[in-house]
Amino acid sequence: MTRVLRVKDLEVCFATTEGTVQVLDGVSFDIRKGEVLGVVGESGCGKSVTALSTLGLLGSKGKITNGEITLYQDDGEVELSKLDPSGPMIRKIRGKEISMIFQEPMTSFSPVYTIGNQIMEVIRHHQGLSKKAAREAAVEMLGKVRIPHPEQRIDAYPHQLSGGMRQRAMIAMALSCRPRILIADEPTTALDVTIQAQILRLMRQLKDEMDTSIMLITHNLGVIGEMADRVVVMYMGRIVESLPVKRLFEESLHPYTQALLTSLPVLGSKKRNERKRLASIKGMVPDISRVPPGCPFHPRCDRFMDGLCNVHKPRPVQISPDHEVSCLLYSEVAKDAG
Amino acid sequence: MLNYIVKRTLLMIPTLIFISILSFFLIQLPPGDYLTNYIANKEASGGSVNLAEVEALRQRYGLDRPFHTQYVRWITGVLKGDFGYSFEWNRPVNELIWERLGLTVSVSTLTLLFTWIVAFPIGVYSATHQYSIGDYVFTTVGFMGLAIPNFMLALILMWLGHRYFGLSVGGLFSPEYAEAPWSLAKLLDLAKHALIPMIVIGTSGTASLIRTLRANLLDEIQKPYVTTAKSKGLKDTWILFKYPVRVALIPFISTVGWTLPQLISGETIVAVVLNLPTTGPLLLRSLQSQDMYLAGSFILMLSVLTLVGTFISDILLAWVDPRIRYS
Ligand SMILES: Nc1ncnc2c1ncn2[C@@H]1O[C@H](COP(=O)(O)OP(=O)(O)OP(=O)(O)O)[C@@H](O)[C@H]1O
Ligand SMILES: [Mg+2]
Repeated sequence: MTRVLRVKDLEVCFATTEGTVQVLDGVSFDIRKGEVLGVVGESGCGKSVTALSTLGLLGSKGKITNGEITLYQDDGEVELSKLDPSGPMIRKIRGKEISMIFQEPMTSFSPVYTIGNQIMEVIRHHQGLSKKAAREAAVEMLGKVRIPHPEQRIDAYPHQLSGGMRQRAMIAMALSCRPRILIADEPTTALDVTIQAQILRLMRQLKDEMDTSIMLITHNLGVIGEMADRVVVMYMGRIVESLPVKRLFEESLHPYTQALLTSLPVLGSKKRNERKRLASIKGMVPDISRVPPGCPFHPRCDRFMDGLCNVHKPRPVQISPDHEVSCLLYSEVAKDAG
Repeated sequence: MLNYIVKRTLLMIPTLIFISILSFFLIQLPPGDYLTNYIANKEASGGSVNLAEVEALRQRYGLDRPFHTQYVRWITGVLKGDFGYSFEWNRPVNELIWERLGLTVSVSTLTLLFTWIVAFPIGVYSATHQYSIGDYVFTTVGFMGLAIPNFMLALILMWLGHRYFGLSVGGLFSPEYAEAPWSLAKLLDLAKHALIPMIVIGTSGTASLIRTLRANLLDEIQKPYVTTAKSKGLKDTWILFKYPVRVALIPFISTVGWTLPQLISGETIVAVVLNLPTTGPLLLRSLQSQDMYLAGSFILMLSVLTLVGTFISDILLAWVDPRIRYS
């Protein structure tokens, strides 16, 4: 399968009042055409930062200090990490090649414009359509996301729609320019259980229909199991394991992935509940400004090897063509020592 | 939207009736009336009073009648355009208030425009360049503007204007125009004189409006909908003005409602210092002497204007923020 995005050795730093903190350290992954790539990990591990860096939306405090983010278009490649985040080049990518939907459909729409206004805006911006044509396109998109009576709903303000309908409208807006990649940052976390499942199903259908790839961020492994083709597991700004979802439940190797799996919440469980169970992994995630030496997971790991895990930084090890794990249990260092 | 305007307009009618009763009640509240006051003053200064004349006035204006009769008499007059008679000035109220109200409204409107024109760009700049040198400078100047009492600012500016710019200060007109009919030259003269009052009255309002706009805009800029707009590939300045600025403008619009009352009540002292022929000083005097029809008409008209101001600002708010018109 062809790739549409490649992230390689990505490092991102933020300037804070306490100095610079590095929040991503050597993140690498691919997104392939038409697939759903799941990204999981506990809160604060850098999922959103990874997503935002592809669009150059880290803000004035954040900076890509190393690595590449390459977008593969029909007529060549673009190196996104090198583009000026406030320049015109990246703005041609945003919303057109890569678009994004967020956790909170209420606050992600401006409350003072109709959803139609906000959807037509992106269509007109990228496709230069007339107002009338853009309106027709927006109505069509609203129909595609199964919003009933789209000709009327297009003139609704966000507060007049239910949470599920708002998220559908958000999906319609994100897909309205047929982007190559849709990044969905916890798109269902704020929604009711039944609505969650509907929205996920809708995203899958539209992805096939429009031939879009999806990067799906969540802390819910159940959602990953339902939706994703491949999954990357993140811990403290690093990818610890990546593998196809159908092998995730039986063949995952990293102790962190396994710990996540044993605390797996049922699909659609309420968020609070889910946090509690994820926290049942021994210990707490350390502060990102004090990353433990060696493997960052070692203080919480069941299979900690003294003198190795707290000394050597694990490198990704290729287990099989689609399966990589960064853990000293599976690396040469450990084998040499053992 | 039309629905909302109609609803809002209908709502004004009972408010108006209530306000008119209240203003009439308030000016009747102190013991006695203008005539007892007048007699007492005359006697205190040793003069004699023509009791027959006083009695005639009392009869004519029904000052001996109960409250509601007096009110109905007054309000029916008002509806026909007759606001009653000023005892102190010996002239119909109509002749006294309109020009002053007109000037008051002009000064308020000019001040409001001054406030907006200065506060808007500075507020937007400060929020988008937080902690820059410019931001610090504006913040410091703004706090000074808030801290200096207005009468002091008035005195300083009058002195500066007179000493260094040769402005004729005080009042709203130069002596040669004061009684002249309206003309372009008179208008220019008014504009020249209005400058200092505008700055004096507008400064603290401007300073607080800048603070509010800056704080609101800083808040709005961080909202998720701004990130969404950016993720659509729109230009930063377009996003700034279409999305967060629109929401942060709400306090600006609210000022339409309260500038006028603030100008009348809080700034009377400025008007006295600057010798402005606006309503404040005259209202103050009519209240002191219990010149009831004059005071009552002033209060009524000012309340009506305030109501109109609030009405305009509510309509604008509903236009800016759809959540208001649908709730
Ligand atoms: N603007 C910022 N300034 C400073 N630090 C930041 C900023 N944004 C993110 N971070 C830090 O980067 C790290 C990763 O944050 P990120 O939002 O990517 O986590 P996440 O995996 O998306 O978590 P969640 O599941 O809670 O959304 C966190 O430690 C966070 O504190
Ligand atoms: Mg996040």
